[in-house]
Amino acid sequence: MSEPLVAVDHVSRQFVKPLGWAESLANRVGGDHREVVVHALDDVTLDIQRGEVLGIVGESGCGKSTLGRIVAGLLPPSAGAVRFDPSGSNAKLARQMIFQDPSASLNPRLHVVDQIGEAAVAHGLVKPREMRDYVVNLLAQVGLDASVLSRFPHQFSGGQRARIGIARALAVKPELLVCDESVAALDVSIQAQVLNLFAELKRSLGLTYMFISHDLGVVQHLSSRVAVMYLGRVVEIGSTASIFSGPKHPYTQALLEAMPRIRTGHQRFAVIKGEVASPVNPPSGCHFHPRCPRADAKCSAVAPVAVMRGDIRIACHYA
Amino acid sequence: MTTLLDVKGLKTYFATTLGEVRAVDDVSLAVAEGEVVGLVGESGSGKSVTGYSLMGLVDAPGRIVAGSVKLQGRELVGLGERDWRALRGHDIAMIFQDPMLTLNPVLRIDTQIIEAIRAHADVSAARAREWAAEALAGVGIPSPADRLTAYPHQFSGGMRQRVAIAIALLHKPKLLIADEPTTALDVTIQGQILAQVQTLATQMKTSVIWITHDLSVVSGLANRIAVMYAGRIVEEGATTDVLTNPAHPYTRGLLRSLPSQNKPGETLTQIPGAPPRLLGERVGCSFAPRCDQAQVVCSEADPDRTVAANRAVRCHFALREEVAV
Repeated sequence: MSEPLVAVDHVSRQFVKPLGWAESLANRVGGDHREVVVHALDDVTLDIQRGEVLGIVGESGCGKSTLGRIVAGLLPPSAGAVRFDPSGSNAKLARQMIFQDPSASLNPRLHVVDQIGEAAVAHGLVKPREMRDYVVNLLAQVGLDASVLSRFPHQFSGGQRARIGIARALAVKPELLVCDESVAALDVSIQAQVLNLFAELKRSLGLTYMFISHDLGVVQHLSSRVAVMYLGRVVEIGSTASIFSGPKHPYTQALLEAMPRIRTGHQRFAVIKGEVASPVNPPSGCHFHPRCPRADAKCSAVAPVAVMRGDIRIACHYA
Repeated sequence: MTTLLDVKGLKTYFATTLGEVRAVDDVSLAVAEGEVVGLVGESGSGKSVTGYSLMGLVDAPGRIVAGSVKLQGRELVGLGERDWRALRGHDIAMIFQDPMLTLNPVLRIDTQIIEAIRAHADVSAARAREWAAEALAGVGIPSPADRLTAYPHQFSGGMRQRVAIAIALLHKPKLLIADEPTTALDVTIQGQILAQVQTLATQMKTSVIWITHDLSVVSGLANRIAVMYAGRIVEEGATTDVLTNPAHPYTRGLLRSLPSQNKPGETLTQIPGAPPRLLGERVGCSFAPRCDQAQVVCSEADPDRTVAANRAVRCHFALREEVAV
């Protein structure tokens, strides 16, 4: 196999909420206030091959967005390293992020033409007088026409705004797109349009994606490989086909069973008990043990080491 | 089965500076006792406003301009606020998407539950407290007696939604309207909540209208499904029939655009365009501009609601399609 585009190597990330003045003062006179530390990522190792779509799934608080930001270069890791190896010269531009809410990530006061073209001009990819044509070209790639050039973001529907967000990311010729819940806010019929656009751009531009979503159906559809995260750790990673047909980790199994599907006849819901613990104070050993039907004393004491099972890498004592 | 709720020709319009928005435009729906009906639609299709209309919660600039809503034969449209207060929480209850907006953040859980209990039942404070604890236990909240004294922010999202459900079901309402209550929750928690509502509704023989944008959520829950588009129910029928043999092109498109209904990696079948605005006069079928089967008649004449073989459809070509299948 060739060198991966991205190699995430034992990356951890904590967020620390420092003590306020009152707590510091209280500590001086014998109080015992500690800083609140959120363990967002805990020793994550994975790589993204060129031209693949790596799906990241997990429930809220599992660290998938933090991982996305670190891979996109928006956030430094607290420990570990991310190696990004683009073929082009400008490594900073080669990874771009597409966010969940395009109305929050687009500038409400910029015309679409500036919104999309500004970065390309600023980085010298196109000359200022060529910007208009350049943007028209990008708009065509995402399925919008030149008539929208001088409109503002609020004049578009949610699906169109998503397309503008994608065009803006494409403007600097990226090799890696990190999509963080990029279709979560869209209606089903619009979501299908945008998912098709992602697939089409991958084919025509040879893009690599890291596709973060809580929606297993969307991830299954688009990804070639999937990583399942739970409380800051990757519990299972492997090819989409293997994971969706034969998940090995009890958490992945529960997640897939809870996934709503079109079916006729009554469905029995609720296959997993309890809720995700707080990343401020994650459970000992395997983070999943308080909810796991198979957990025993070893699980609450020792964090499992990842092992290979076929083409799946899994972190569970009993897989 | 006896009909519990009978909605006929309901129209809820909102007056805006741009004109009248026809959020709900001629909706008819019947719900039998103990039945679970899934009301499915995309944003702006009028599914939530339909729910609010049934609860008497439509405020100015919106108003119900026509139609009738009958609960066990009793007309609810035009009811005074006094009557509504006696009805809401007792006969009809609603749960919303965001429990943080329905629970009062500065009141303890017990205060809120007991208030809801004593609004409709004349019981002692001690009994009300007991009742509140039982209600929390009923929705699967561990150590309910202790949790009673907590504030909403001390609960997780899933737990808050359970509290909201507990409050809604206090008086064993005849009808529960659930407006996307699991949309903001994680899948495993969503599964727990769905199971809880399924069990409780069966136990209490409560009918449920489950409003959602997600067909797959109601497919395992609802006896019948009603699909809304642009303020109207375009198709309604038994869950199995609607899912396996959709008669309206919009329902078909919606089903086909779901990633889980397609082979991984293949191009999704998409519905072109975007939902229409609900302003102004309705000319022709609202779905016609996006419909792959639209003919001239579709953009000229508004299709009527036709009922055949236990299925109500609003499409000029729906029945022909059904014969063909």
